[in-house]
Amino acid sequence: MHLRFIFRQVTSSPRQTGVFVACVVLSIVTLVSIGGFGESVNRALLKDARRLLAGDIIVQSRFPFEPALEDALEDLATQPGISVARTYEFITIVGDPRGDETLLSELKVVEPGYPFYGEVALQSGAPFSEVLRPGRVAVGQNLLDRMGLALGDRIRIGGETFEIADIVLGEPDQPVDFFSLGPRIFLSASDLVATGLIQQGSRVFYKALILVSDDRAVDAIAGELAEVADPVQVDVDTFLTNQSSLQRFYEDFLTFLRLIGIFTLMLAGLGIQSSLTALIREREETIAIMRTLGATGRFVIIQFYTVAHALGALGTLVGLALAILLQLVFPFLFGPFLPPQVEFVISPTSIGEGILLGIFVVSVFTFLPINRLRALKPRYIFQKQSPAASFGKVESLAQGMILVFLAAMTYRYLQNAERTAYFSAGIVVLVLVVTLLGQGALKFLQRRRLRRLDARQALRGLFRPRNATLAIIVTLSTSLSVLFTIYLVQRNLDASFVQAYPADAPNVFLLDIQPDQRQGVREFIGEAVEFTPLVSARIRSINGQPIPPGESSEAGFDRGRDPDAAPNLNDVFSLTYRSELNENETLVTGDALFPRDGAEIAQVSVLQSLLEAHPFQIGDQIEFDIQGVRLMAEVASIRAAVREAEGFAPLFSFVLREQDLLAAPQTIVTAVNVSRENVPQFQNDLVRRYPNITVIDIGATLDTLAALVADITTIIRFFTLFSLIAGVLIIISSVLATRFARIQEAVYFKVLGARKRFVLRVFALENVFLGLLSAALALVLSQAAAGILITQFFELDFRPFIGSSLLVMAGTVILVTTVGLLASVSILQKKPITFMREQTVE
Amino acid sequence: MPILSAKNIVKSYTIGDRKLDVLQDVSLDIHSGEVVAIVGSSGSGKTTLLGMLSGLDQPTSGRILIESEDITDKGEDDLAPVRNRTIGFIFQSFHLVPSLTAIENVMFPAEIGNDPQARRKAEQLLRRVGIWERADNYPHQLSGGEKQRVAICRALINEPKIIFADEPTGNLDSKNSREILDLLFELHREKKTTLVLVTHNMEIAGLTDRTIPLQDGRIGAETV
Repeated sequence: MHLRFIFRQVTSSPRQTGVFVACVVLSIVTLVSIGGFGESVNRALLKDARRLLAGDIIVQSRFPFEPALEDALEDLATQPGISVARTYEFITIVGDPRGDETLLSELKVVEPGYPFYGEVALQSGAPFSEVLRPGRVAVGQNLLDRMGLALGDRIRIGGETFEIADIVLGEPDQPVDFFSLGPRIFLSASDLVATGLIQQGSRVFYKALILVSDDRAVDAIAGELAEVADPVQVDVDTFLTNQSSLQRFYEDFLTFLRLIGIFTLMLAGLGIQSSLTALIREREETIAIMRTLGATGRFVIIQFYTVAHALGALGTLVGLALAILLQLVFPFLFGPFLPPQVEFVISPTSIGEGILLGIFVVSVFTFLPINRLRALKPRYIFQKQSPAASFGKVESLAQGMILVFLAAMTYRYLQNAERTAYFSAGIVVLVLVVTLLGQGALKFLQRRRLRRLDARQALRGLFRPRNATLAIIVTLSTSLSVLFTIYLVQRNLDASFVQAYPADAPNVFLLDIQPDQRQGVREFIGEAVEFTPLVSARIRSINGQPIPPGESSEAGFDRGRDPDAAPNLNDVFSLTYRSELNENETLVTGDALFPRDGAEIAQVSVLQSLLEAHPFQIGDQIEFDIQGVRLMAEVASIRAAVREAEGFAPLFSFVLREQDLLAAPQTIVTAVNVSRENVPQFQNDLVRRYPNITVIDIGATLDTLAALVADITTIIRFFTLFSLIAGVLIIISSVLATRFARIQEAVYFKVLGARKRFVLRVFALENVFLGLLSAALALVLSQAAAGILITQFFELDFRPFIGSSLLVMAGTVILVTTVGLLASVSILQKKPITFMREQTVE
Repeated sequence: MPILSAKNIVKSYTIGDRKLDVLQDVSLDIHSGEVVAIVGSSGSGKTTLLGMLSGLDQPTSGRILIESEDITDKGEDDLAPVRNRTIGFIFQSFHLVPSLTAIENVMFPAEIGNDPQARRKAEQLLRRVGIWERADNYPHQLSGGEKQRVAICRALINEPKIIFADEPTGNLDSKNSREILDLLFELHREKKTTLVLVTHNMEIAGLTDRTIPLQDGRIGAETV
């Protein structure tokens, strides 16, 4: 190894080595910072699984616990070393007793003992159990801000008023609140009855937290509870088996970010490859002289591997330093989205992994340019020729290595072979498609003969020998297509959910209306409103055959309402009653909704999509279980239903006659249109009259959703930006790789009488073509990808946003042109005579 | 009135702390229609002098006048019309634009000057030098002799008043050298251009009207 030689190679081409190091930095900073981000979030969420559960065991259900489960919990509470605390969570409207101000809030009613682990952090610093005494509540700061209240004021919840005793800063079992519909209120369970809020059919999340002092007994107790609990309605988990929806959300989100990281790694790798190629090209004459003087191919390769790894080590160190710095910035960038107690640190393991990653990245992506040196014959250099381009063993091996490396990295992050295979195949297909499209477009352009001289020269520039035009287009198009797709999906979701909400459509939903409140509510609203009763029920048997036990669907609730979702007979269904078909329904079998209207046995109309789960026929007998009461019903008709454009009308799997369900425990909902500015007044007046009714303002909910989507997109865009930087580095390295050819052209143009402006125009137009082609390909791909996602996954109408897309495209062209021109500045400044002198041997 | 004048040209380079005088007090006049050879051995400064005379380089001191216009202090863009219309270049290493075909290389100076007849003129010239069938070939597909023919056509397309040829046969074999020189002199007679030739070959210099010898950066006694 020749150290002086290596030092000279590193220092004598600062631009190329700079880009090389920048690409290594980028790959390390992306993966290590995403890894660190994930590690920090996971640690914050999983540091103490018991704290996240607030107990050792949790029993939870959307329905009141059945008597057998209640008995089991009562028994447990009497056993030594075991404590039970129940919580009831639901949304409700609270009000300021002094005025009209009301607010949708998330109420958490807790029994003494909650939380068994962790603590509810209060502003006063006082223990939660001391603050939450009967007649007092602890609330989120946002409630005080929005209602103009202060500590010590009173607040009306249901039929009672309470003193605001403290401000909640955090709760162990809900570390982030970005899914919430309103501020948090903690209420003592002893006050629940006085509020009168839980009535028949009310939508409440019932939980029982259990503290078990003997760790060894936890699984056994959970098993016993699971045996008596209804497996469909009730979940029983221990702190080890429970995975909250929040954890699942973060896990999915982090997986997505990691995939973006791998994608960026691939692009940065291409940058490493292309900048090293540029560096080696500048050194070709040196290499030729070395070979002429007897250096073996192995000797040359070892020297350049050492150069690459020396630069790689520098890039890795800088990348690690930047990744650590980024961790400090994350709280400012993504603050509201993250768990409050998250500590951003990069562990020694991550640093070790980063160093290993740096070595692998450099080894894998420099393999091709360095091993090509074997084929470099001195005569090519001295005669200033290029060896014929070929795709041989070295190229195949290099591509294979890159693919295996990326797949291994993907597996390392996903820990799932199937997902790894899908992602790797997806990347290969994306790159192949972009390559084919790019090749086709370039072939088409190569045949074009433009009239304008500068445009023609610029087009010719794309086909300059050794130009990495196709590589740049593939890199830019793939990274841009991911960015564009995210942009289009966000715009579509925004337009479909937030902006496209028709002005005359119902925008205020009233839930938990009691049957005897219907008349009063109708009068209050002052117009004809349609009340939809909901009765929760399960199917016990069909034609006397019990439903085979099985898993309920993921949500555990009626999926039959969604015509596209696979129905599951083990789910809990929402039944309703009415006498006529809805406008969006048609009869498939039967003459009327209930042809035997006078029949004594209950009559039921079945939604066609249920036929996927069971071949229902007219006359079949279905046995429903309505909160312990059995109801036998005869299939009277089969209906088909289409989801209305606005998607407000719920699709019911089972519709019965009024007389069949009137006596069943039920909740009634309705929806009305209230102008946005009148919603607060409407809400205030209604809640004063009917405290148990929950009013959901869809406009406000959509605002929350839009803010959440915006937060998520900010984080995704932040990390996807790294892949765009990789694209920019590839443009720079390509300009450097073709530096000689560009200087040559610029000099010849000037010698033949062209002004600087002309040369500048040619270079600018070349980059415009490059940017246009890449952005256009990316746009086509992203329109297709976003179209598929929006129509197939989100099941919405796709809007292409042509105007905005063209603006994004223009932005891309400006970026590519600016970067390309900036990288060419030194080339433009080169004096013809200097270059000619270098080229002419006197 | 000379078409090209050099007055007391000095060109010095500083390498490290060492000053190198490449040209020392060189003065010369070249008249319209003349064929002049600047001769000298390797390192005598003849290519440097050609660079000064053609405006590709600037002297440390002294003046260069083309058609009585002082071009010494002109910037790159101010020199562009002079290079495009008044001067033509032929180089030893051809210096053809690699991304352009033979005919596109020839057309290029005319197109910069917005000449609508660029293609027709290029075609005529390529036919004249006998390589029309190679018009659509790229430089790397041409032999050395063919490249130099393309370079000659490119130098002539705008019918410049002066052609500077720097060792135009330096990279060619003897047969091609002979042919290229014959072509150059024939075209000179046809077009009545002034031809300034730099060569180290005295045989070639003997074919010109006048020889300006250059030794260690100074002009020696001219021969006619």
